[in-house]
Formats: sequence, structure tokens, C-alpha cells
Amino acid sequence: MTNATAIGAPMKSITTKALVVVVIAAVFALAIALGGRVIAQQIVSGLMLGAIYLTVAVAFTLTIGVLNFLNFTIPSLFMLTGMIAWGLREKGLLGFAGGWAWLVALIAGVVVATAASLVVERFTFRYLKTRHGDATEHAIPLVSSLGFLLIFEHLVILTLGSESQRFSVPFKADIHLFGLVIGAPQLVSLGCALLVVAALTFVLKHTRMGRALRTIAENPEIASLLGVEVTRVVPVLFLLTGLLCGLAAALFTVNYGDVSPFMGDHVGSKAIAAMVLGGIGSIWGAILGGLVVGLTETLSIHFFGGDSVEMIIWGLLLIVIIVRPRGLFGAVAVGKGKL
Amino acid sequence: MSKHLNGPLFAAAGVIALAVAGMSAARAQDITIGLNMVKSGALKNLGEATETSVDIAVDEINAKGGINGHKLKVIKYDTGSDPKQAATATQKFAQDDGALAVIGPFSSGEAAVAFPVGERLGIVQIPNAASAPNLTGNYTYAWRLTADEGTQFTRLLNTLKKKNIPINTAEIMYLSDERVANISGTQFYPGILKAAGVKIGEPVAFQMKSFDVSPQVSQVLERKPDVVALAATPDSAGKVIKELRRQGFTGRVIGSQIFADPNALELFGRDADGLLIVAGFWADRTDQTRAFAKKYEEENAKRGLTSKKSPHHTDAWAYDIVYLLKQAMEKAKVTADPSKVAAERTAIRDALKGIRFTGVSGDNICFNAARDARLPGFIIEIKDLKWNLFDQHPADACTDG
Repeated sequence: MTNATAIGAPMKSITTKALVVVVIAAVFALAIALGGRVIAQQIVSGLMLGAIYLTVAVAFTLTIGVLNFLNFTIPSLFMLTGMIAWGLREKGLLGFAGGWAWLVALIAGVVVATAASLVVERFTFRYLKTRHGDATEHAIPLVSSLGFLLIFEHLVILTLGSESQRFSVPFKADIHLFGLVIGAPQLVSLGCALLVVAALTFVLKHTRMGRALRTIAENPEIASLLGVEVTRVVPVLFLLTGLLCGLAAALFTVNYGDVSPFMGDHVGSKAIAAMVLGGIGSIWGAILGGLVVGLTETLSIHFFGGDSVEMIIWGLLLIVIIVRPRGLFGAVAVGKGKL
Repeated sequence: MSKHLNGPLFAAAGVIALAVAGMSAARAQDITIGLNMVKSGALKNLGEATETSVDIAVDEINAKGGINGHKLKVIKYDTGSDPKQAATATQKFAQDDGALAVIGPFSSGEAAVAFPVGERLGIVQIPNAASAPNLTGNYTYAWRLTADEGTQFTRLLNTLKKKNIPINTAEIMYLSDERVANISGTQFYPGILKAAGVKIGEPVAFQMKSFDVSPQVSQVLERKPDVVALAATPDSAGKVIKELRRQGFTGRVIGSQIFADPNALELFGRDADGLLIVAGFWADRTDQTRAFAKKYEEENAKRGLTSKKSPHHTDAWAYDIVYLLKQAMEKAKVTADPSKVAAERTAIRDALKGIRFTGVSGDNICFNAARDARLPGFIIEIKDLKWNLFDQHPADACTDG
């Protein structure tokens, strides 16, 4: 596979990439050695935060890798999960679920986010493809997805209000290890996120659907000639996007116990940074990027204060783009319009 | 137009003209005030029940005959928490609605933008939540029925001392993108704590959008403080309190009135046990405060604001501002005559000078030379998901007003 996006492709230049990971790990090991327990705690917090970012970053990278399209609705899909889950509990619609109402609410939130993602596919890509025979050569899908982002956000504001809300779960478990506090839900989140991404990588590499997605990423026209039904495969991509966003939001909601109509904006912007940092179109790049952004955020707060975070993360991103425009794990260039 | 249609047409026009004139006459007899409020945007949660308090006071006043024989009418404007909109609202009240005075704007950020507009147009504005220092400046039409954060925090430290609660070291955490919290966290708290001989570290900032405050909390707890002084809105304070407890902090969290919201108990949960804050209103103080609190809860329930069960001090201040304006208007003998609007607005301002006012916030309230009210402070301890009165401080005397 020669295409830049190389979705699901095995990492090339393993030595270079391993070196990148080793250097990053060494920097953090040095920080722990110099800073002691508090730095170790910051790194634990950063990894947990990174788990959220990386899941959303994978959603971004999948869409851009296959369709060459920055899907702006992703933050709103993330938000829909949390707010729908809260709304269902708040309106007392889940009384039948008893002590499991929180879980049923979150599952319902994920279902709504996935359905919303399919609606976006229907009215951006499929519509344009049907009407104009092309969906990505112009900026319309980008603008449409931005429109959906605002519509979803404001629908939620109108129906559920604009303020932050508490979403409590009936358990609280922290693991105390070597003086560090690790939230059990956060640990589960990190595990879940990595597991889902690993499963996704497997699907992309070893299944018929995965091969179809990779072929479209390579060249949609050739994919069509080879018998790939593009109009059937693309909705699967949006389905995956919705599921990933829903999962990330569910983990976020359990961890932080806080939802708001704007919860997706902050996570979304960090996930975009993570995706670009790791290399656009690279799933493993998104994973590394998510973890690096999470760690950079917590360590920036520690060393330079809470107001420095945005400047440092986006500054780091700019430096990476200047030095290595394809990101840490990205391929040579991003493809052109595909569908 | 055919001739036979002219008669009915003129008759209809006459009826409409009479109706319009009648409505104008009815409007002219009402005293109009503006309510510059926050019902959406970032400050919605804090400000959405201001309207309820104002409506309760207006209904009570009108039920007792109004002001100088005129009904009181309120024109409302939701700024969406946007300072620019607050300035627009003031302009609209003064130029389009013929308002004699304005309740609001709500917050310090909004007041900073709307006060110059009110000064230029010559209309009194009295915010109910703008407590940042030095806001009224040289604006003679800008008055505030809000308690100063610095004064309230000093009272809290005095209570800690009085009750022998040890506080040798403290750490400060503050919300950097909210005006009053920022000033409290970077100016008031450090200055007041240092003056009280408490050792403090560098204040630690977080932002409204920070959903994960664990890095800031780790940093603060590394210094092993006796207490953590927090300056934040209720939503953000809740996140910090939860994380402090999660990381094992067992000491007291203290704060001024920014997050002293009786309706935030559920938000804070059990993690808030032992929290000490200063509020500007205590609902169980007098029969009048109890009656107001009861009406407030009932009215909010009717409006679907079910979480607003007990008045926040900004709600109490909003209620008092209506009565304060009534007192000033009676003193100024306003007539609601449209031809005297400008003169009567200034007369209201002048009537506020040297006024003494008793309301639900306190007794014999006065204003200092900067036109800021002197109000009492109530130290609240949260225990077992309840607000408990821990101590109280009377309002400072007005010697310069």
C-alpha cells in the first residue's frame, strides 16, 4: 500500500518509530526521576486523559484517512452520548433499569451518537455522491459537518439546557499504588480504549470490510473497479466513527461525572491535535498522539500553570508540523479527493 | 377607493387610534424599570432565578398599590452572559423603553461594559452579582447591592481564628477565566491570607472548560496544606472538591461567596463535608427572609426551575434591589411622566445617596462613597448535605457614604 493514509497498514520503519516511542518514554522516565511522586501522579493522570483523546483521535483519523474529510461532527457525537445519557436519567425515563440506569443511559447515548453519525453520512456524503458524483473535491461536506455540529449542539441546548450537569455512577474505586491514586474507572477506560483500537486495527487488516475500507482509502475508483460497493462501505465508516465517539464519551462521563453541551469541543480540539501530531491517517499515530497530548496537558499544568495548556499543546504541534509535516507516524502525504 | 368604503375605514382607523392612545396612556401611568438578566450562556445556572426574585418583589409591590400610586412594570432582557449584550440592554431600556432605572447587569464583566453606557445615558443601574472590586469608579449612576469578595473572605478567616481552626498553611486554587474568581484567587486570597500570617504557595489556576483538574490538585496537595482556599463558580468548584477528596485531602476547603450556592449541595455531594464558605444571605434569619425563601421555592417550581429551591444571595439581592428602587422612587416622588424621564432618573440616583434600607439581605443597609452596599456575611458550613450557619458577621458601618 503506497497511499499516504495507509489506514490499518503495518507500521513502516519500525526502528525509527520504536525510537520515537523510546525517546518519549525516556523523557517521562527522566521527569519522574527528577520530580518524584507528584510527577508520576501527573503522568498517570495524563495517560488517563490521553485515553479519551486517543479514542476520539482514532475516529478523526479514520474518516480523514479513508475519505480525506475532517469530520467536524465528531465533537457533537461525543457530546450527544453524554447529554442524552444524562437527559434520560434526569427525565426519569429509566426507572425500569433500577441500579443499572446509568449503564442503560450510556448505552442509549452511544446508540443515539451512532445514529446521528449515520444521519450525517446520509446528508453529506451520500447526498453529494448521488447528486454530483463526487463528495470530497469541494468543501461542502466540511461545511455540512460543521452545520451538523452546531445543529446538534443547539438542539441539545434547547431541549436539555446549556449548563454542566452531574452524571453520577454508583461506584467509586481508586487504587492506591506506591503513593499514586489511580481511578479504577480510568484504568478500565485506558484498557477499553486500547482494546477497541486494537480490535479496529485487526478488523481493518484481516476482514473483508477492513480491506474494503483500505482499498477506498487507497483509491476509490480502483476500489469500485475491484467490486467494492463504496456506498455500502462508507456508512460502516460513519458507524465506526459514531461508536468510537460514543465509547469515548461514555468513558469520559463515568470518569469525570460531568456532562455539558460543550463537552465535545474541548476534547475534539485536543483529539485533532493528537491526530495531526501522530500523523494524519495513522491509527497508531492517533494512539501515540492522544497519549502525548494528555501527558503534555498535565505536565504543562504542573510546570507552567493551567492557562498555558493550549499554547504549549498547539505550539508543540506547530513545531512537529514544521519539522515533520506528516506527524510522528504519518506517511508521506495525505491523499486527494476520493469519492 | 370607492366612496362608500370611506366611512367604515375612518371609523376603524378612529377605533385603532383610540385604542393605541388608550394603551399609551396606560403605559404612561406605569413606572418602568429594566431587568438586565442572565438566562442563558455561561452564567445561566447562577443567574436564571434572578427573574423569579424580581417578579416576586414586583408582584408584592403592585399588590400593595405600586409606587406613588403607579404600577411597576419590568422590561426584561436576557444578555446570554455576554457583556456586549448587557450594554445593548441598558441602551434599549434608556432610549426605547423609557425605563427609570435598571436592575443589573448581573455579572462583573457585564457591569464593566454597561456602567459607562448607563452613565452616558443618565440611568441608575444596580447589579445583583457584580462583586469585582472598583467597578463603580466614577460612574455616579452605578450602584451595587453586592458584597465585596475581599470583605467576605476576611470575615471567613476571622471566624476560623475565633473557632480555633488551625490554618498555618493554605493553597489557593482559582478559576482563571471568570473575572471575580480570578481577582479573588490572585489578589484577595493571597493578600488576606498573608496578612493573617498564613503560609501560602503560588495560586494554581484552572479553567471553566477544565474537566480534569487532577494535575492542579496533585500540585496543590504536594505542598500538604492545612486548608485549600477555592475561588470558582459552583460547577467548577464541584469538580475541584471531588478531585481533592479523591486524591486523599481530608482538610477543610474554604471559599468566598462565588460558589456559596445553597442549590449546589447535590453538585458537591458528600465530598463537601466540612466546607466553609461565606454567603450574603441566610434564609432562616427573620420572618421576612423565611417568607421570601418560601415564595421563591414555590415560584421556581411553577416555572420548572426545580433545582432552585433556596435563594442564592444574588437572588436575595435582586429581590432587595426592587424594594430599594421603590424606596428611592418614593423619596424622589417620581411621577412616571414621560416628559420628566431624564430628571426623574437623576432624582432616583440622588435619592439613593445616604439611603438606609432594610431588606431580606440585612437591616439598615447603607452605601459607601463608592456606592457599594455594606452587607452582612454568613459563614456556612456544609455538613451531611446541609447548609448550617457556622457564624455571622454584621455589615460594616457606613462612615463615608
